[in-house]
Amino acid sequence: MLKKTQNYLLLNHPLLWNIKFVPVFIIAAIINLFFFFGGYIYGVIDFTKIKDSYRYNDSTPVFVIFLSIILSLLVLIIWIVYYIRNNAFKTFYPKKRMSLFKEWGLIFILCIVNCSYFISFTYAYELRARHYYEKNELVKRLDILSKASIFTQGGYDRSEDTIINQQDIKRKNFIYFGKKYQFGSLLNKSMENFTLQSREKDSINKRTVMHWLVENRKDSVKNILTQFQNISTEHNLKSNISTEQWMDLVYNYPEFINYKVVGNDSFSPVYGYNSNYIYDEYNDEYNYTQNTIDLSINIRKIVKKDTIYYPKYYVPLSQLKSAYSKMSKAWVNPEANTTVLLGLLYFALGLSVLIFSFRVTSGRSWLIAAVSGGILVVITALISVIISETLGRERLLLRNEYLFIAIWAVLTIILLIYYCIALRKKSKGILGIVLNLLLWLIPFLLPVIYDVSHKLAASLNTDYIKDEAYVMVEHPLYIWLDQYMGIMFFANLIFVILSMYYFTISIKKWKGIAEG
Amino acid sequence: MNDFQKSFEEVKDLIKFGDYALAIKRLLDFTLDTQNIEFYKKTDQFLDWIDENQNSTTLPEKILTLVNDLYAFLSDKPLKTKEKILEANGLIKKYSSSFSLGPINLELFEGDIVGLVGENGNGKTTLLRLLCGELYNSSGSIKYNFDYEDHYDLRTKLVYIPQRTDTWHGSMYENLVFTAAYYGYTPEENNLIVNLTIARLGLRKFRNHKWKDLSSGYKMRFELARMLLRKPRVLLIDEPLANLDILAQQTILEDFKAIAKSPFRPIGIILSSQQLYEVEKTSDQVIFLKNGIQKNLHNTTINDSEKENDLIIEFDSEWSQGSLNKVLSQKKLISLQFNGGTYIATFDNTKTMNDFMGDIIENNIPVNYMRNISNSTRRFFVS
Repeated sequence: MLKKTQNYLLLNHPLLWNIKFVPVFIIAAIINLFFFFGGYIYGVIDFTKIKDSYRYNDSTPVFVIFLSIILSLLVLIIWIVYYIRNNAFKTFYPKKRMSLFKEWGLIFILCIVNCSYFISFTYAYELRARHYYEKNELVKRLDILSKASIFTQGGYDRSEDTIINQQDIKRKNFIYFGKKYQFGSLLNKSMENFTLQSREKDSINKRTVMHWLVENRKDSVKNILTQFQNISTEHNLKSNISTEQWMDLVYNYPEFINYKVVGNDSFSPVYGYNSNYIYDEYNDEYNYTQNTIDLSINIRKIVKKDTIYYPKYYVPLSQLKSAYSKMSKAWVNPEANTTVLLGLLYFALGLSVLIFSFRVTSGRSWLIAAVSGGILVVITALISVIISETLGRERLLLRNEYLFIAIWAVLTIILLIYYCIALRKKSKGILGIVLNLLLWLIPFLLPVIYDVSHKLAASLNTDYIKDEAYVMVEHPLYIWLDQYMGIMFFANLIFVILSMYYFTISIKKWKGIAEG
Repeated sequence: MNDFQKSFEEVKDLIKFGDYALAIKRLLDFTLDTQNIEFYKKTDQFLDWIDENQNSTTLPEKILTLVNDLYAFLSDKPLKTKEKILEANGLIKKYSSSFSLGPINLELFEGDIVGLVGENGNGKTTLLRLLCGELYNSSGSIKYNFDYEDHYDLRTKLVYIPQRTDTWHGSMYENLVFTAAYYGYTPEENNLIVNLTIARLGLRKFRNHKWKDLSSGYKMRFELARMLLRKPRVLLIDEPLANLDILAQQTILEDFKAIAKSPFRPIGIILSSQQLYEVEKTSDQVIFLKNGIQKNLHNTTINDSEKENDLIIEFDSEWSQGSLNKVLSQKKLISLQFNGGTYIATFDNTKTMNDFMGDIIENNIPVNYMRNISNSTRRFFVS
């Protein structure tokens, strides 16, 4: 089948055959599908486990990234080996005006598909998390978890310590709706929040529960706790108390002070809090003294000679929080996001330009361009450091790395002018090397100009001192540039595509020039 | 009788004398001349039939039937008038080193073969590279008498085969189909035309071979097959006879002649070579280059034409230069040079080759080899 397709392409679309577009695209698409399904399967949420809080990248395991890099490289190498077998342009076969542009476009597409394996994985992983519930249903469930979290172990919103007129004052209570409450009251309990819930929603949820408590709406509270228990049961998670027992333990109208703490799970140790604690860096362990542990709500276990306390009553909030956080994050802050997509597009763009420039010029001029480019980088870096250090901050608007990239922006423009002029010459000379450098630099021209402009606009910002602090007044140009950074990166992709159209036409002209 | 009719009669003679291989070559030339897919199919089927029935007694009959069909079709096709395709005037290429090529003046007509001869480093390759646009000229001009959009387009029509060609990757057949596809052959005719071209150059057995498995002669033939598919207006070949045995040299030169002089699709060929006599036999014009200076074998300047009338004999003898000089000086000898193992004797223009042979016999001079080089560029090498 594939052989037949390739034969058809060879006879009808020799460019597609030469690039090996169909087989490479199919192979890369199949690998993407494997990664997608792998991500979808791996994305199943285990409601019995809590996630590792120290893991930054939650959705893409290291082995997946490693595997995707290996496969990308493997496909790339095999593809290039077959691709370089024939080169119609090098041997002066007839080429239409758009032919080279099409060739680059096809290379770009293959580079995108071949570099997106781990993104397919991550996207599917997060898609699975989003597929558990409709967004509205998920928000509803998150609200239940948030509201119920007030009735489990947790911190407090208001602090006893207040600084008034630079004096640390310890308060014993706070006033809510004209009534005094102690700081330990449930009305001061903090609430678990999820990213999918808006900030406003958080406040509404909190106020709703507080109003139930103030107005003694026991049924509403019980209803929430019942719904929490139902969610737990749905995910086969166990509480060791019924809703009624939970109510009895925590619901203590009107002060809500003498309540029993219900743990968030059965396995997290409980530490006592010593209010008379004095920080002692040499004896840290001592400060986590267990002497304030209330044995009426905790149980003691001796593990390897250590005494550890666990909650006597618990509900599975930790597990639910972990699982629902994943779902919430998949909606609000997915790792397969626009920035990652943009990164992929730029990486594929860079790779496609490297392959294309090698293809249309020659290995020799490509290599010379790489070496001379590297030497130029070192020289310009040294020049920018020397100028920055010699002239100093006051006399220079741009220093160090900004000066370096500004020099390169100017160099790119000079090379571009040279290229346009030299195209009229009788001999190619060093034009092949310049062409390589230009093809590699053009994708970065706009972002570099943007970055330099951004830095220059930052120097237009002013500041003044208010209440012993600096207040920054941002210049409208700075704000404007800041606002359009994402758009600039997408606009640059369009600019690069258009400039490649110009280059592919001029490359044909360049190729026709005599070698010497 | 026009060129085509002569070729047709020649094929009939070839069949009559049993030279079927050459007859099939001409048959393939005729088929390609038709530019008709029906004939492509017929001949392709015939080639398949030959593969199965190589010693069949019906082979001459089959060839003749096909040739007659082709003759009937091509007789109505107008012959192509051979126009000037390329003209170089005062062409000079100066290098930063002391070497300079030119001025070169040359004309190339469709159907003509121009041979470039000369010692190594005298500008043959430089001239070919100038003509194909790979090098630019320091002064003078080159005029190509056909349409082209830009320099790239021009260079697609000037096919230059360098002495050292690039390696082909993948199957030979696939490479040729790829070339044909790029040069506008339709999917229906592509495989047929590639099959015919491969067969024309005697590569049918090698179509699925790898580049590394081919001898240099066959590599050159594959280059030629690719060149034919590129429909060149001008073909420029650097040392195509290098590394070929004498038989292969003669075959490939005959192929060049047949390809260039097609009555319907003539092309101009310029080739460089060290094989003087073989090239002279095939070429319509031979250009000798010495230190970048041009000397034409035909249509030379007045001074050269005077020399041309002299009788110049290259011969090999055991006698010493003194003994030979003593005898030949009485026989209208102008000069006698000893040149790399052979003698070059120049005589008065009233003397003939037969007179010289008579002198040898008369004086009992031992001679192993002799050649009249009065009309050969060989004389430029010794002058």
